[in-house]
Amino acid sequence: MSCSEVNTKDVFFRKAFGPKSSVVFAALIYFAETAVLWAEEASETAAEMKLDPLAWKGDLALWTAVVFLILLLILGKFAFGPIVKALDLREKNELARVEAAERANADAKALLETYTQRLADSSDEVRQIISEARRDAEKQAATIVEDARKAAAHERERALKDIQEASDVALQDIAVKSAELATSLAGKILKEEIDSSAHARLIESAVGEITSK
Amino acid sequence: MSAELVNIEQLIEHVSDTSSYHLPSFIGNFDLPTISGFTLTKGMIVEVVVALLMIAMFVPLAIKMKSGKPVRGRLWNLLEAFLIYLRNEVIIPSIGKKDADRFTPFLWTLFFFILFCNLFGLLPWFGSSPTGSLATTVVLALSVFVILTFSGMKKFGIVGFWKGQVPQMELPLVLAVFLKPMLFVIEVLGLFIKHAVLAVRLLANMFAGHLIIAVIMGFISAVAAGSVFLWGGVTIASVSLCVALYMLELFVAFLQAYIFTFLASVFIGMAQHQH
Repeated sequence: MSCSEVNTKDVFFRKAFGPKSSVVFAALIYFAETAVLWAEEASETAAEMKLDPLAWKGDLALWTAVVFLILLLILGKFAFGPIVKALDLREKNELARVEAAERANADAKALLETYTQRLADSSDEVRQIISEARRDAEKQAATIVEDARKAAAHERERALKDIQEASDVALQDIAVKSAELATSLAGKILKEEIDSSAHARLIESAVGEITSK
Repeated sequence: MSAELVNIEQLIEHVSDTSSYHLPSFIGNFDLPTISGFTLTKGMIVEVVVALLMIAMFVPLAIKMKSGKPVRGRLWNLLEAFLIYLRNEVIIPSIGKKDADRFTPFLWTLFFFILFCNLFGLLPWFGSSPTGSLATTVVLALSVFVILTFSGMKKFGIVGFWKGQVPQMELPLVLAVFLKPMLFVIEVLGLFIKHAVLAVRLLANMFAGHLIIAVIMGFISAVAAGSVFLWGGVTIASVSLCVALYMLELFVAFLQAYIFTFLASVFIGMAQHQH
């Protein structure tokens, strides 16, 4: 690069991008030109060294073929073949597991439904039992009350009867005593002796009169 | 700072498949031996290391997976995730559920072999990816071609497979006599070209990436004779750019392994399900 060329560029950059830009651009241009020169040199060297990416290397090809084939056989036999089988087995197991889980889920749902139904049924049953029990209790209570009423009435009747009987006996006693007393009084009054049979007749007739009254 | 400190020839050797390891200058170079005319190269060593690494990783994984239960551990889960992704998202959709499992081990081997070869090229001193050499990529593409044609011929018969390369068309006999042989030639040529492109695509991507990194690193040596400031600036810029390109190369290593495997699956799928 000649001196005048650099100066022309320097002036151009200074005008175009400001006074400081020329230094940066000069460095960049120097770098780029050096890079191009180096790349040219490198490509020449590469060509001298026959660094051709498409160059055929028989030794490497043969080596690669042998290494790759042996690797393929070993891995196919001991690694990748068994891994494919293991993955298939895993897939099968997972499918079976998913199916089993789905089945278990369906069973659980059915069971839940049964239990829910049974629970609903049993609460109905409980309600029925309670209402039956209540009905029975009410019925029993009514029976007990009725029985009690009947028993009370019966007791009353019997009491009344006993009272009546006692009253009758008492009246009879009173009559007998009254009759005796009257008779004795009458006897005393009349001073008339009467025999015992007439005495008894008189008493009976007096009692009969009293009781009839 | 002298320009001779970094020799351009030596730098270029770093990205090519040579038989010499460039160790730090106080140790010197380590040259691989030549055994009865057969020259060992860095790429060959990488291939063997990759093969051993794959065996060391996938055989234990197969043992762990044998029961069909999910594996435990980060590495095993990572590897399994790769395998399952390739099988479920690449191989099965391309080849079909019925035939996929026959080709899965081959395609898995292909993917990891390419991936590790690509990645090993990024390691310092290993220097070159075997996948940056035409010989390697051609052999890999050829293996796809061989698997594809043999499995196709096994399925459809030798005549059936090659006849099936011509798309089914309802043509009048006069036209068919002319067109079908032409189509056959085009389709068969297409079959070869597809595989050639498969090889060249991988080669170009890996070779270009390494070469660009070497060239950018070379800028440092190119300006080493100049001022210290320029040399310092260029060094910082080159190293930063190289780090960024390394990231890109890391991505390209995965991407190219994926593309190669994906296209191989598609080609095998096409051979298994003719027009």
